[in-house]
Amino acid sequence: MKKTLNAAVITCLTLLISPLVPRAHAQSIGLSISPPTVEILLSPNKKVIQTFQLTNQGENTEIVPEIHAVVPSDSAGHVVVDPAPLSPTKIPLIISCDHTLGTPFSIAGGATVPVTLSVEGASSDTVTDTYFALVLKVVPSTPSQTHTLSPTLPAISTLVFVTLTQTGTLPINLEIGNFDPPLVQDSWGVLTITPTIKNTAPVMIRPKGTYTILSPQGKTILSLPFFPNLILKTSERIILGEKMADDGKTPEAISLSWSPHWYDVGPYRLHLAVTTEGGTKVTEIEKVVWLLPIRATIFTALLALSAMTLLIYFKKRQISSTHP
Amino acid sequence: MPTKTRREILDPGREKLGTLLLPVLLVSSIYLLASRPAHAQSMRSSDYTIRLGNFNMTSGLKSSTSYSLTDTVGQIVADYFSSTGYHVKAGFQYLYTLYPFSFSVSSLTADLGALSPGSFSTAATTLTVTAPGQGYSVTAMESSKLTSANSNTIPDTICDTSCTTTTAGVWNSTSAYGFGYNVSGSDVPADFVGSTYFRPFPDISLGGTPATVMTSTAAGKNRTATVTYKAAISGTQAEGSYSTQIVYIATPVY
Repeated sequence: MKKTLNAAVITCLTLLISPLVPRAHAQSIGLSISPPTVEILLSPNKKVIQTFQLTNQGENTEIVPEIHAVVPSDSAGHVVVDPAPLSPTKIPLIISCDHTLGTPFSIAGGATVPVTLSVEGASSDTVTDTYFALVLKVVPSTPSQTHTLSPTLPAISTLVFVTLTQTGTLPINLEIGNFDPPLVQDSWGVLTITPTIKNTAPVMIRPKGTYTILSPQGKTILSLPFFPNLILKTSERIILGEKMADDGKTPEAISLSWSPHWYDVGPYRLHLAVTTEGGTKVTEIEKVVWLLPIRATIFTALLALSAMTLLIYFKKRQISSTHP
Repeated sequence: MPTKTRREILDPGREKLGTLLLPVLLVSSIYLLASRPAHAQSMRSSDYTIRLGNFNMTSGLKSSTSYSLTDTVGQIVADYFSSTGYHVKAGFQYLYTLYPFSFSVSSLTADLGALSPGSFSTAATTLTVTAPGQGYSVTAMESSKLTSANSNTIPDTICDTSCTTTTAGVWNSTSAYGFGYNVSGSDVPADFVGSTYFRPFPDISLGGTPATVMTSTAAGKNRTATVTYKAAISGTQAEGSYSTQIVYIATPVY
C-alpha cells in the first residue's frame, strides 16, 4: 500500500515538473534581407552608404557579416559566391560595415537590424566593375564530441554591383546571340525563341530593346519590349519580354513567344533591336521564318480521307443491301 | 467450309483497308485536335510595388544631391554623375517586392549519431527559400572532410560506382564508404533522380566550387527541399567523433 502511494506521489511530481524542464530541440534559423540587390555607379574617392535590413525569423542567434566576390554562373542571372571572403587588396573599393566584417553580432529572434555598408571608390582612371555579395552567415554552434555530426551554417546574401568611373561615360559592347529561329514553323504551333545579349564590355549594363514580328506585307504583328535585365560585364543574359500584369501596373518577365493564327502563311520577319536606356540603338538583327499550315494541312487531308473512306464504306453497304 | 459474304467476295482487299484505316484516322484526328501547343511558362512577379531602396550618401567632393539613372551612357548620366559622383539603384528594377528574400533551415546540426560498419547513418535538414524577382539559388559546401579530433577523416562518397560534386550517383552499398547527401523537393537539380542518388559535398579546403542544391528562375514563396546526409564507414575506421561544417548560401537572381 505504501509502495503504491509512493509511486503515485513520484508520478504526480514528475508530471508537475516536466513542463518546467526545457525540451531539447533542433535549433532552426530563418533570415531575410532587403534589398536583395544593389547597383552603384561610383566616382573615385566618393563614398556611398547602403543600409540593408536583416530580419531573424528564427531563434536568437549570432551572425557573421562577410564580403565575398561573385561571378555570373549562367545566362539566367544566377551567380556563384566565392567560398573565401574577398581580399580588400584585390578590388578598387574600400568596403566597411557598421558590424565588423568577420566578427559575429547577436540578433534576437523576430528582430530586424540594419546592416550598413560603406563603399568608397579608390583613385582610378580606368572604368571597372566590382561585384560582391554581403554574406550574413549564422555562427556555427559548438559541435558536441559525442556523435558524428555536421553543423549547418545557413547564410543569406545580398548582391552589390559597383561600377567605378571617373566620368560616367561607359563603354558599350553588346552582341545578340543564340538567335536561331526555325526556318519553317507550323502556324498552328507556338514560336518561342531564347536569344541572348552578350555584354563584352568591362562594365554592366541594363539594355532595353524590342522584339518585333512583321508579316509578309510589312505589318507589325507583335511588338514586345525587352524586360530590362541587368547584364554583368563579360557575361550574357537570355532576353525576356516585358508585359504588364493583370493589375496594369506591375511589369513581369515573359519568354519571347508568339502564337500565330492557323491561317498565317508566308515569310515572317523576326526583328530584335537593342538600345541603351536612353534609346540609342546598339545593335539589331533580323531573321525570316516561313509560316506554313502544316498541322492544318495534315488535319484537312485526314479529314478528307476519313470522309472518303466513310463514303466508300456506306456506298458498299448500300450496294450489298440492294443486291442480297 | 466457311461461306464468304457478298461484300468479301466483291472486294476483299478494300474491305481490309477500310477496317484498318478507320482506327488510324480516328486516332490521328484526336491527336491533332486534342494536343495543345506547348507554352513557355511566364515568369510572374505579381507582388511588386514601386519603391526606391533605402540609401544614404556621403562624399567629400559632393556638390549636388541630384542623381539620375545609369542610362543613356555618355548623355544624361554624364551630366548628373559629374555633379554627384554616385548613383544607386536598390532592389529589383527599382521595384521593391512585398515579400523579402528569405532563407531558413530546420536545424543547425545534422546529427548522424553513432556510425557503425555495415550500415548507413542518415540525418536530414529542410531548406526553405522565398525569393521575389526572377529566382534564386542555394549552394552548399563542406569546410573539410568529416574529421575527428585526432585528424582521422571519413572520405567523401564516390557512391556505388561513381558520383561527383555536380553529378549524383546511386549509393546503396554499405561497403562504399564515405559521406554524402541527397536533396529532394522544390527546385532541386535534375541529377537527384531519386532517394538513392547522392553526391559528395565540395570540399572548400581543397578548393572545391560550391554545388547548387536549389535553383530557380522564377519568383516563389516557401520553396522547400530536404537535404539527407548519409555516411557509411569501414570496419577499420578509427574511433572518434567526426565533424565538419556544411555551409549553405542563398543568393537572389540579379
